[in-house]
Amino acid sequence: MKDSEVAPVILEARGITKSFGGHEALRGVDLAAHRGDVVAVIGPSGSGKSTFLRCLNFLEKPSGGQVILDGEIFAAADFSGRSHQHRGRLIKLRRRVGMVFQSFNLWPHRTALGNVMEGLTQVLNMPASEAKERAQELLNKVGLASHAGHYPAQLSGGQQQRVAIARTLATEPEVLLFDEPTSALDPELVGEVLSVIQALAREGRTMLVVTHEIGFARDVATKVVFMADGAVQERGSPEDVLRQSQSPTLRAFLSRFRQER
Amino acid sequence: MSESLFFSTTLWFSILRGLQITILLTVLSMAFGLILGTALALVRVYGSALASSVAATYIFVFRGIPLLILLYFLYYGAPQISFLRTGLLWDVLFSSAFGTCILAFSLNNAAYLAEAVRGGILTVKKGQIEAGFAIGLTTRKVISRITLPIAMRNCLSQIGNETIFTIKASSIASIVTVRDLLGQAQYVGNIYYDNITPLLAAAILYLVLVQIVERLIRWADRALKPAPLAGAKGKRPNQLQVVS
Amino acid sequence: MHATLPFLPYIVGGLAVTILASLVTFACAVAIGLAATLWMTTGHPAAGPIVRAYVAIFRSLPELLCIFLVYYGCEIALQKAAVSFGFRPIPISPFLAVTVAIGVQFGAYSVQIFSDAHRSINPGLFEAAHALGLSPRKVTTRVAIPLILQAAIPGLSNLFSVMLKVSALASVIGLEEVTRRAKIVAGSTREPFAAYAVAVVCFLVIAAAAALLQARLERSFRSTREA
Repeated sequence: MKDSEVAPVILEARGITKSFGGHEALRGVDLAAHRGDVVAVIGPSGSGKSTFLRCLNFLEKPSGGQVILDGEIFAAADFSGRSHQHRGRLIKLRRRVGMVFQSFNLWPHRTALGNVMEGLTQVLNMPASEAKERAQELLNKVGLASHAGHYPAQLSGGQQQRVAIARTLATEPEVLLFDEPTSALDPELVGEVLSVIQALAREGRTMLVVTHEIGFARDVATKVVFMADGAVQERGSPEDVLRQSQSPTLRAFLSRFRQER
Repeated sequence: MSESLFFSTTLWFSILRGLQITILLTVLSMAFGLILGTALALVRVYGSALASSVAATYIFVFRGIPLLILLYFLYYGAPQISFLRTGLLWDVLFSSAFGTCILAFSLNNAAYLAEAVRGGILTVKKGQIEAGFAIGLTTRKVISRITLPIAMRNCLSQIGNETIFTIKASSIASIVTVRDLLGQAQYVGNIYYDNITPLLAAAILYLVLVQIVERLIRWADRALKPAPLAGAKGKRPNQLQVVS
Repeated sequence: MHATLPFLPYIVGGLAVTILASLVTFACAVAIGLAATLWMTTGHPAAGPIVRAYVAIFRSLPELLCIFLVYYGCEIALQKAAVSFGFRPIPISPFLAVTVAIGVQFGAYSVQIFSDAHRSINPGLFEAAHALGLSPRKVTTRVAIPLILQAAIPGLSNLFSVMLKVSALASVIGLEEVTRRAKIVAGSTREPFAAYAVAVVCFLVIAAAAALLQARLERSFRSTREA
């Protein structure tokens, strides 16, 4: 299973920095994800892990550093201006790197099916009939085929998040970013979303998951990254990071989690 | 007030004709106002600093001028400018009182609607816009397919209020000889030497019209906001236990 | 252009009439609105339906129509009175007609502003006043009215700026405010563009002043709230 050493690197971050005003949120984060990796990014809140994830598809413009997708370099400096050429590249990057948000962010004026179809018809330029069929398949995949006609306001949080995952899958991204996908959910709804994410991991998809679910990091991730104060403190296999690490910050973070559970 | 005039079909037929004009004035100036107002709102939110301040100035100016003065200015003042007296602009807008009214009401509505739509845009959740960018939509598509449709729903009740405001304000058209509901009532009043009776009849029609529009807006507001389905929350799919 | 210049002070002077008419009308509207709102809070069974009907009716009627109704209505009533009591018909003051018509109409808007303001106040504040042993009358005058007025300030300042613009309608029954004077000048100089341009500028200056004042009011309002 652990063939990540031989699989090629698909997404790499090099020296990502980000400052908001005077505050330095990211101080040079490096990370490489190989094809099929499931990287769990853990860390206390305010550690910059969500900001880092958002820098990878430039929803947040990094102050410095590079994102390398399958050998193509996207430098922070490229996207500071309003150049058309770079905007086109950015859209391609975003199509290839999908993101699932903490608060789902479904579009309230579209049904579940409409939300999933949007990327198919507007990004992939698929004809509507074909897109509808494909969107149904995707909803089926996340167990919501019967809810295609529902509006987001008519769905539970867990169902909304699963529709959001289907929407992200629609453009067939090579890398999936999950930004605390279960943090906004009631505890009893967390399981249904995690099971969908786990199923995706089993398909061999490359995923970066910012999460507070230490159990998920331990059981599903192939790599665990621990961030604190805008930098990566520890990285390695789940076993190495979650059990063997001697870092006092990480130990303190993990012990707080155990107490909460 | 005279009962015989109040219950005569002549009176009601003629002010109903005026009602048609009032509705036409309202619908046309709301439509043009919404188009221009949406454009102004977009410029205000997304435009460069210069463009945005131009739009803000427009909004300030046209919200500051009383509609009656704007109408006088366009109806009596504008024809003094020679290039306005020729061509399509003259034929369509300035040569007729009706055209000038549509122009004045639309310019005025645009300023108010721009503020309403801008408010609608600003209340769209940031995450919903980001989700559009995240799947690779262009900025143009995010605005036209996500931000604007959600913004319009957000400000629907304000658009409704503006429609009611326009119905009432359109009565100003009667001052420049347009036979709208009020204009027609005054016209009938002059014929029968009875100013009050036709005005009361017109008042009733204004009341009915505003009530209908208010109800329509409330209905639309509810129809566009899907109610949570009973049982949607309780429904639980089969769960795979992942976490210990 | 040149013909209009000498009339500049005349048109601009109309602003005094515009502002005076607006102030008096505004005071009427506020008094009606406050009285109606306080009446509703007494829980009198007739209060709710009557005030609601009043608001619904006057929210729906065009201001211009109200002005005509009051103006012609008064005219006819005065004529009838003159005939039956045998005195010479007196002309109706346009100022009075406008004050009554717009005052009653905007009273409906101010009811909405005041009742929203009333709803926004924590009911515990009234309960506290009652608990202190204040008479109901004192609770109203010393607690309810000041609190309602304070909470209604943003809505009322907005209403006043609308009032200034609506006062232009008074010109059609002959009140010599800015609009009317511009119209008179336009007729005599045959320079409507210039005359109305002056009127436009007058109102823009008022709008700018109102915006500044409103911003300052809101700022001081916020600071007293935070304090």
